[in-house]
Amino acid sequence: MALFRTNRPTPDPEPEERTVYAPPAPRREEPVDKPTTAITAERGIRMEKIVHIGQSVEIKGELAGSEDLTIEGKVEGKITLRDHVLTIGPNGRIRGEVFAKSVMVIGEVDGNISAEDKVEVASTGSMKGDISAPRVVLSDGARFKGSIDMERKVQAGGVTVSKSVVNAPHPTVSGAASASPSAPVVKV
Amino acid sequence: MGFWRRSSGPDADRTPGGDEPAPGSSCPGLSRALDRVFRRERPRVLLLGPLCGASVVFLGERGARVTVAEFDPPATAPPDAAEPPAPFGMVVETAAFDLVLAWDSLEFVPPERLREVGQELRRVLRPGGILFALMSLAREPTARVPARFRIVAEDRIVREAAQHAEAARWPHANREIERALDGIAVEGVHLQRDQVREILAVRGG
Repeated sequence: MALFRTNRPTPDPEPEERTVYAPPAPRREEPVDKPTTAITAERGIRMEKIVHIGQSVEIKGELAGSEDLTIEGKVEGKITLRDHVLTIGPNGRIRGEVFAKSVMVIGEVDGNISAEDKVEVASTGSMKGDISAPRVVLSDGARFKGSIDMERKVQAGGVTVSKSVVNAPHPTVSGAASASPSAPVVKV
Repeated sequence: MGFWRRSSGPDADRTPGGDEPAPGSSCPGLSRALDRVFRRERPRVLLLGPLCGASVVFLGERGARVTVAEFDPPATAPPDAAEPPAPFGMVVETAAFDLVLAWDSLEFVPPERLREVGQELRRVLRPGGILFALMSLAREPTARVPARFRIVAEDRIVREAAQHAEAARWPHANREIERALDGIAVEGVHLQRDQVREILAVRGG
């Protein structure tokens, strides 16, 4: 039995697979509606998709999907992205209700947001409506007018999830549907 | 009406058991208000005045349903105006809130309109609802930028500069505020060292 270790160099471990995520797509002149794939550096293709709605795209109606989405254009209508992340980019304008796992507001939202995980309004973001999520971040400089409900509920089985139903709409400033479009937005 | 002690003792701003000064200044009125409000289930809180996102989240994390509303103080009525100024009103529900936090708001209301604002505050509070108002007592200057207040603990706040336009101000006397808050009984006034005054009041049934 060898008492001492040899100085023999150990073989190099398998190179670790490193994933390079595609950065947020830059502003483009023409609308981009095809999925952007994130490509691994050394091996194969990672099948995660980030869908990007370009600045010149306007959508009226319901939008639903099962992948992460970045919106730089205008959307009027309900957006549903269960289990996925919605990013409203700096040029994005949303008018309608939003349901997603996580929502990042860098542009403007006029409507209620309900997220299972987190809602973040960036310093450049503007939000008019109610937020329902277990975690909320309102960055300094963000504009917000409405209500925040951070209640969690516990499902059978002990899994804690966020409240998935938006508050009953308030007949006043809190509800986006009832808030006057010209009402001033509070600078946070 | 009870007047609380001034928190000016040598250890007023010390962390318990530590030598480091605690961030911000003590705010016993806020502590009392939050203590009472969070005994209720899922209280509704209305925030008025320049807002701080951290304060909204602070309250939301503790179970409050927080509503943020613009507080646009009513303008002074010009003496030669043909028509009376538009009545003051906030676009929020009646008798809906367990707590109204009026940060740096009342001192920007002209004296002749203070009663209107008091009535509006009474309207939005539930019976038994609490009003916590914070304002400066200083005579000067006659105009300044309203500050925003970050709640860092139940009894501590940090004053911060707000991105807001300068506004005329009136350091109302306690008795003027009490008169204006008709139907909301002032329970206590707390004076801080930097001439900031806290007012805690409760709406009667």
